[in-house]
Amino acid sequence: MAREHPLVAAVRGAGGGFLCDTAPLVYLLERTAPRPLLAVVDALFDRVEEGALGCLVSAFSAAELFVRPYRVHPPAVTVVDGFLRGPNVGVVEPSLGVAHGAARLVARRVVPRLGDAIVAATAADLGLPLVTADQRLARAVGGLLVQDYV
Amino acid sequence: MVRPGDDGHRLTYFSCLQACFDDYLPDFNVRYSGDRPVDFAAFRRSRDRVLAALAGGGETYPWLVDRDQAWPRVVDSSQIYDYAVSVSMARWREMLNAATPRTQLTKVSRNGTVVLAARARRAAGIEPGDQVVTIPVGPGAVLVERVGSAPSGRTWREFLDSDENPLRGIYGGNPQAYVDELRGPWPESTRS
Repeated sequence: MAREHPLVAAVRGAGGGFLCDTAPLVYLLERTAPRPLLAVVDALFDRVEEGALGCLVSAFSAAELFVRPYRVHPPAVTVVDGFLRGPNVGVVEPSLGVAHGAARLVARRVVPRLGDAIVAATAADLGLPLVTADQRLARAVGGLLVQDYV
Repeated sequence: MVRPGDDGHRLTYFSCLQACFDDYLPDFNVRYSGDRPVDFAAFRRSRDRVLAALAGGGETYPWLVDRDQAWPRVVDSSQIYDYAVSVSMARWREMLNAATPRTQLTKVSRNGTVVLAARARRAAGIEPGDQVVTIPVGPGAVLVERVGSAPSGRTWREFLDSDENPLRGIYGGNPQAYVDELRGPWPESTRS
């Protein structure tokens, strides 16, 4: 039996679900990232498609994923939409708890950008690990940095 | 002259009402006198006078007064408005029905089972054996959505790796730069 990918093992060890930031999803959908990085993301999302892991996405990230397709190639919107409606992928709506959490992160200057703070607060609100490709965000809130698993 | 209920004049009638009521409906409290014809063109031309009269108070509106009555009777606009709404609603429903392709009726069984019409099912790319979820989207409307597979029944990875993937390279090849573009620059002064 093949050894489990370290990032998959980390997510599984945290309960089997994770909140994914925007950039790793872009790596997955766009397919132009360097091969080792793509391999990490693919390993994670292969497990999601199998149903072994669950991926949640903040509505904020979902909106970011839609911006470029709407701007340059509207038919691509349906692919992003279809992906986000997958059986083991869910979009998390903003809530008052997330708003409080994000505001605290920004107010205390832990995370300076509100968008990052909303994503991080959503993960914290759900009690899920955050998978991100942003080193600054990962260091600030203790997320799982994709590049660390290359 | 335009008489309410006169089919040949619906558009003109409605146009007049639209012009009269669009901006001032909350301020109008005039009443229409039953079957008596009303000159709505004059009504529209004179709306500024109506507003002036309403602002001044105490004046009557000659084009809306039933002069056959012993006392000046203010006409009832609620009938006019209801009629206009019913006309426009009917037109809206007709247009919607004409523009929306309908398939044959199907009946909900006692245990809640419904048969998806073949034409709608094929058009939506739902095949026998597919898993679907049902989502209530409004009164009398349920969305039936296929789940569990990527476009064309392949895995998501197979589809994304194929030439059919319209997202290939669409984000500019640098996801973090794309995110930074949307979220703004990361300030230097943080506690991390």
